[in-house]
Amino acid sequence: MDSRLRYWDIRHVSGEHTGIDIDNGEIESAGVTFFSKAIIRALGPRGWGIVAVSPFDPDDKGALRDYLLRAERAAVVTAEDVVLSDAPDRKLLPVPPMKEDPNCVSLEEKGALLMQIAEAAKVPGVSNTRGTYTERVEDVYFLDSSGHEASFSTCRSGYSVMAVAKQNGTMQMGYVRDHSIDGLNLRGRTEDGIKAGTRAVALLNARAAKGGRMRAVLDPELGGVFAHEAVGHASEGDLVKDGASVLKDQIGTAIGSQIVTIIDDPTMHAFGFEPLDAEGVAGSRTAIIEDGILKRFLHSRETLAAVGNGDVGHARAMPGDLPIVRMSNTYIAPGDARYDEIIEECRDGILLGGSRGGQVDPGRGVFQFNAEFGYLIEGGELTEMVRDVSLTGEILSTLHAISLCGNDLTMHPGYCGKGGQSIPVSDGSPHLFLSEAIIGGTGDA
Amino acid sequence: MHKEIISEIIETGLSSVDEVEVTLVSGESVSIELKRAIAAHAGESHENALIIRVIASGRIGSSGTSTLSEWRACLDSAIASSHLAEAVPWGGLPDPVSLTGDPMVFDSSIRTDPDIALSFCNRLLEGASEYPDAEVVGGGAGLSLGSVLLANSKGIWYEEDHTSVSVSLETIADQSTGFEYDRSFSLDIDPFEIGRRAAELASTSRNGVPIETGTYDLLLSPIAFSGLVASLLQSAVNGRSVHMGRSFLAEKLGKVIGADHLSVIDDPFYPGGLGNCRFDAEGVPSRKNILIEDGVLNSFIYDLKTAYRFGKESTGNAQRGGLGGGVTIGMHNMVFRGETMQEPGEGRCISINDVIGAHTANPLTGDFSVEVQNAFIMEDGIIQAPVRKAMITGNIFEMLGQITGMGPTPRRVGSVIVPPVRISGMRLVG
Repeated sequence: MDSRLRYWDIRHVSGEHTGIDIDNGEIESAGVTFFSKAIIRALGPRGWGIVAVSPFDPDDKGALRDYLLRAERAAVVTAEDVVLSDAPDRKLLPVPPMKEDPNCVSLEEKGALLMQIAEAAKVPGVSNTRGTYTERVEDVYFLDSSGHEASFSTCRSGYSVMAVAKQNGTMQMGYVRDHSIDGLNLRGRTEDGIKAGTRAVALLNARAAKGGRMRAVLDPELGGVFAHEAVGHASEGDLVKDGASVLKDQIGTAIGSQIVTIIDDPTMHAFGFEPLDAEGVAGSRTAIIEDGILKRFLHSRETLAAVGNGDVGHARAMPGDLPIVRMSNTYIAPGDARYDEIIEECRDGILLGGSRGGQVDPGRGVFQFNAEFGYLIEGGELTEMVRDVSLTGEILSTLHAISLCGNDLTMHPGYCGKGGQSIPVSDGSPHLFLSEAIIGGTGDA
Repeated sequence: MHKEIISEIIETGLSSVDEVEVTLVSGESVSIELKRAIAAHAGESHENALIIRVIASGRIGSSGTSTLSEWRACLDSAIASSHLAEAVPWGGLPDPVSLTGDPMVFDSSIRTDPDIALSFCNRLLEGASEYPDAEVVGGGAGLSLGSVLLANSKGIWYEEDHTSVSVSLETIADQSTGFEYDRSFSLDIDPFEIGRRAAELASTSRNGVPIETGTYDLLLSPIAFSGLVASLLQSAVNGRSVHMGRSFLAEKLGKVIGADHLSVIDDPFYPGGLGNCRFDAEGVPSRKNILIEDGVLNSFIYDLKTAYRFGKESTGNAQRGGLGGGVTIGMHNMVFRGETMQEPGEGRCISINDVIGAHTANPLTGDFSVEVQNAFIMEDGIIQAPVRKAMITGNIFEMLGQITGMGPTPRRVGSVIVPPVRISGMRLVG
């Protein structure tokens, strides 16, 4: 379209977002919003010029030309010599078929199904429940200056249920969520409500954990957060390129114990699946760490060209936002230890379960995350439940401390924030035994 | 043209519901992003959004769209949404009042000019070069202009323009990182100082020493304090959380919940405040609300729906951004005040610039354990050594009672305004 540009692309996403909020048995709000957003990127003689528009009208044929001119003008002030790697694989991965298309279920019915889950959380001792349903239908269109054109649709939906239990002036909460890329997941899920309610009540009588250095077991959900926060972010090619990752210059080095293999796989049919990344490239399974050795980084076309070592197809974006290097489905590969062997091997320590979120400083190589609950491990057996327990540590020393990997990998869906963009991901792990961990807690016991 | 469409939306809506409210948000921005110390991206954005809320027999429905011309689908969706919502004893949208004064978050000299953004980036880098051992990892500068138009079927027609300027810089020295930023509605920010400070943090945090596990006095920077305390305290005084039984503070109105010199005020008229406004997202005139006064919990905050439902009065705290185009309850500017002390105070304390994982605190009880970022051991106000790694553990509500003093100069951290805060008796795990 314009010969002075070395490259350009447009990614237009339109769709609908549905939300239902049930507070203590009443529908607080339920509705649908509509969006149509586009991002246009153009590579001038040096760096990127970018135009983001909302709304974008795909029928306005002059609009793209106008936005490209604007992007070209914007790029004039840039000074970085951006080079793009080749992207050979551009074939759309098939979107997993829907078991039940949420589009075919009325808002009323979704509200009623969510109500069942939220009401199930009202076990004795629970004083408040909340249920939330979100659904995002996205129709994606991509075109670049090489003439590569692609379009696909996805529908991501899911719910969360929260219960608050109260007793003698103290309060605790239990929380269960599930998100899906292959259809409505609201039917037959009242068990999750009961689980949230039961956990909230159980936590009322749990003591606060005592912090310090100790042996620890992470459950698959928290182990997945570890894979994501501690390793996944530090392996993102943009952070490596800009010097903001503790893993830069570490390819080929043993950065963890021999039993640790960590993979990011956008082709897996889990919540972080992408048929095509935000640069129009098909994703591939990337083994970041194999048998303790750092092997590959996650890349966009730009960061692969700058850094090397790894795979393209990991650039993702919210509608109307700039593609950046992101994870998709990230997990620690299963080993061969059974769960009871892991608890037995830990002997005296703590089990951390569930996740209240986490954060990492990839440059410093330090992470922090919080479990939803824990259990003391005494004499190789689970004993008392504890609450408000967290884990911090240095990425590299914690990877070396992984002494056993279970055989029970499970994935958990969620959202990951970076650069102001929140995108769907999943992460997972088998049960992990850490020979030393830094545990945080407010208790004395 | 917009005026006619908005009038048409209200008129059309009124044929099937009791009340209609329309919000039109528009904005444009320019920004430049640095990768290392080089301008890598330069861009602009143009954004419009239409939000419609309708009320029928106390049931509130909402919808939104980015495409103004598709307002009929949006209105239909809002009406359908109202059919599902539980009814509340609704007392009506607000009537118009005459708003005095000029827009409070607007500087007419601001233009979305990439050259200004570029000059800010250059000043950031000049500031950072004061510490040559710190490398720039990234950062950038941006300028934006926007407007909000709120109209309702009671005759409200309020318009407010706003501007924003922001800069940030991220640095690294060996494995020690630094980050600093500022945002304002006017050109009063100092990019050189932001760049200098980001580099200083990375440079001076190098060669950290281990710290013994134990009890310490902390000096929390405005960033660390607001990260830990602000969102949790905000949700604990949110009227909906309070009446739904999800707030730690629900039963504590009139009781002592903090140090006797601590006051927290939601002030929509704070000079330079980013959350300043004359009316909230529902058109209720903004007002100053004293939340905590001399350590005593004084009030909660409400939007119209929650207020009507629980027999209270809206405090003008409705905010856009709720699910499906709805409103939520939020603060304008959360201003913390306390006894002024000489900063950082006498004796030994650990000065903490930021924390990792502030959002992982228990949102109900306030229990937390987070990792410190850019922390220093101080003795009588003199830095002795940086701390390599340490975890603070405690409870945010208990911490409010352990505040011993505040520095003389408040800082704006987003919509939180707070000086450095000294807190006694906090546990650090080394």
